[in-house]
Amino acid sequence: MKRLLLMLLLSSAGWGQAPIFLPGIEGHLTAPPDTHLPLLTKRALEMSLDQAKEETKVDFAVLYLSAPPTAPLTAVAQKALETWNIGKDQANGGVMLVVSPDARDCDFAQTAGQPLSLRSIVRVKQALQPGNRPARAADALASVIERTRRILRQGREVKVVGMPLARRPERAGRYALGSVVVVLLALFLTWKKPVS
Amino acid sequence: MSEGWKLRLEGWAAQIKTLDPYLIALLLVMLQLLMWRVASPQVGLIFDEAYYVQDARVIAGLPVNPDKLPGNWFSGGDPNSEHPPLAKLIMALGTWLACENAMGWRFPSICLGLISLVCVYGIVRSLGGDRWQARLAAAILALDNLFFVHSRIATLDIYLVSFGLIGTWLYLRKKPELAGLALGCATLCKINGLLWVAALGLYEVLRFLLPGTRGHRFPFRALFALVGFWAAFTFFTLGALDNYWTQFNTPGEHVKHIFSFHNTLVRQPGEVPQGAESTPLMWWMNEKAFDYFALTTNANGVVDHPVVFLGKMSPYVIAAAPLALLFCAVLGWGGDLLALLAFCLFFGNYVPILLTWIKTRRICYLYYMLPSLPSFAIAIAHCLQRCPPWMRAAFLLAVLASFGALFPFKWAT
Repeated sequence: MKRLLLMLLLSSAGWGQAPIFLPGIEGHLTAPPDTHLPLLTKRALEMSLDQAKEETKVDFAVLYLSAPPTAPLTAVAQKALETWNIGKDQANGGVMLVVSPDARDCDFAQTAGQPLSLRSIVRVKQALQPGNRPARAADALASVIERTRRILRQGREVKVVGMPLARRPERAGRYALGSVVVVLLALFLTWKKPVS
Repeated sequence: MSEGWKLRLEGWAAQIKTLDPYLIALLLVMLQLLMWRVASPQVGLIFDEAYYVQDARVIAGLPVNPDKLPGNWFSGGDPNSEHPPLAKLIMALGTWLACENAMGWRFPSICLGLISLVCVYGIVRSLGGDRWQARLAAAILALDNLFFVHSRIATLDIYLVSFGLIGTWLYLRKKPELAGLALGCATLCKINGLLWVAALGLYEVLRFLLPGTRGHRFPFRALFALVGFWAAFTFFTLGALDNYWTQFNTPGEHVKHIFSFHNTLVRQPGEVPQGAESTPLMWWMNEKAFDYFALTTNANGVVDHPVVFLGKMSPYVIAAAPLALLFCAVLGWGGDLLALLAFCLFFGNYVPILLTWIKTRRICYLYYMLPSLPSFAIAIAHCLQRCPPWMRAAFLLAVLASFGALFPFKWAT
């Protein structure tokens, strides 16, 4: 009897499954350095997620995995949602999105309010192309986040101004100088030709 | 006043005196048609305006509803990194000047559409065509539905075509340095601008090699100036635009990104074109034309489509084009420079796309034929020049009828 009880206990605890390790939460977007997500992209996505929270009052968090997970993505998402208390202090709850390292797969976990319908989740997952090239993983990640944000925002007409672009005026000026020289040279050479 | 100035001013004055009233009339009529309800539809963007107008608004720093934008976009920057930024910057300037009105982002296309007509006229005249032939070529191009639609919507293609034609005309007028700058502008709007440079190179090589034009010296200096100024202008200007409006540090980085992005737009072998996609071979049959915009009304159960922007060429133009091009190839072989140019412009713009599609199954759309349309117009007019006048009139009337049938707005609305 004791053995039977022990077996039941072990199976209910997911015995045989590898434990799920989560990295430390970094913000709305958690992407460990091993993911090689460009810094500018990460900043832009972080801002986009922050705006999503402001617009929809849904705490939308993303975990971009750096290595293939040892458990199904749903389980990882659920664990992250609970561990990081996603949506706990938001009026409309929270959504946790987990994206695989190659950005070819993703899954969601959400709080009881269910900010996303099952159909929306299917739509977002379908949008991830299985044939995505690894080099375009960052684009795919950005696209899936944007799509989810759009769905969360549906029914509202929200206009936003993005984060300002970091321009490089000195470099631009140097190139522009070259361009002006080329134009002036072209005009000069055309002008000095004899008039027919 | 120096002698050079005097001569130039006299030359310009003489040119103004000899302006063709028929061309001016055509331009005025087209301007009227292009401007008519230009801000319609009031709500909704036509075709790829959904992307480029969004981009223009972002560049202008205006608030946007971030549909059709990539995840990582920055206000004041060009979010659409798969194309060079010049055309979108022009649209952004128009949007900003016109206070976010559709007129602002569509007006540059209208101007460029009209400039294209002038250039086609000028190209025909530069290579020995008479006034009627030049008028006919300009009229055929003006009345083609695909050209008309693209001349009044904010997409990149009319920028490419117009700057390409300006460059071609300037080259023929023995101003290869300025031609290089114009073709540089074409490339800064859409990377396919380099195909226009290739087309002019092909024209010069064939002109040198073909039996009909043998004895002519190869224009090394002119071609060198064209390619040199085109490359230098494109390099420096793209570098300047990239550093100010995009995240790319060097033009090479951006061009590499453009090509790598376009390499991903492919289908697997054996896979049929999806949705509005088509193959370059289908374009000859005008197949896979699609609605750029359609307004549907339903009043008491009666469904109507008062506004339909259709991405379709005039059936008469596309039906006559293969014969006309074949005829031009034969005439070009015999030394007819205008025929040779029409053939080369077509070859340079169409064949690379065809080869890319054959090699990689690149995703293509019918409107990729737009840069070849001026060569069709020139070739058809050149053929019709050898036909009796009634045949010319009949063809023009047929094209006019198709223009009326495909016109985006129903007259009653």
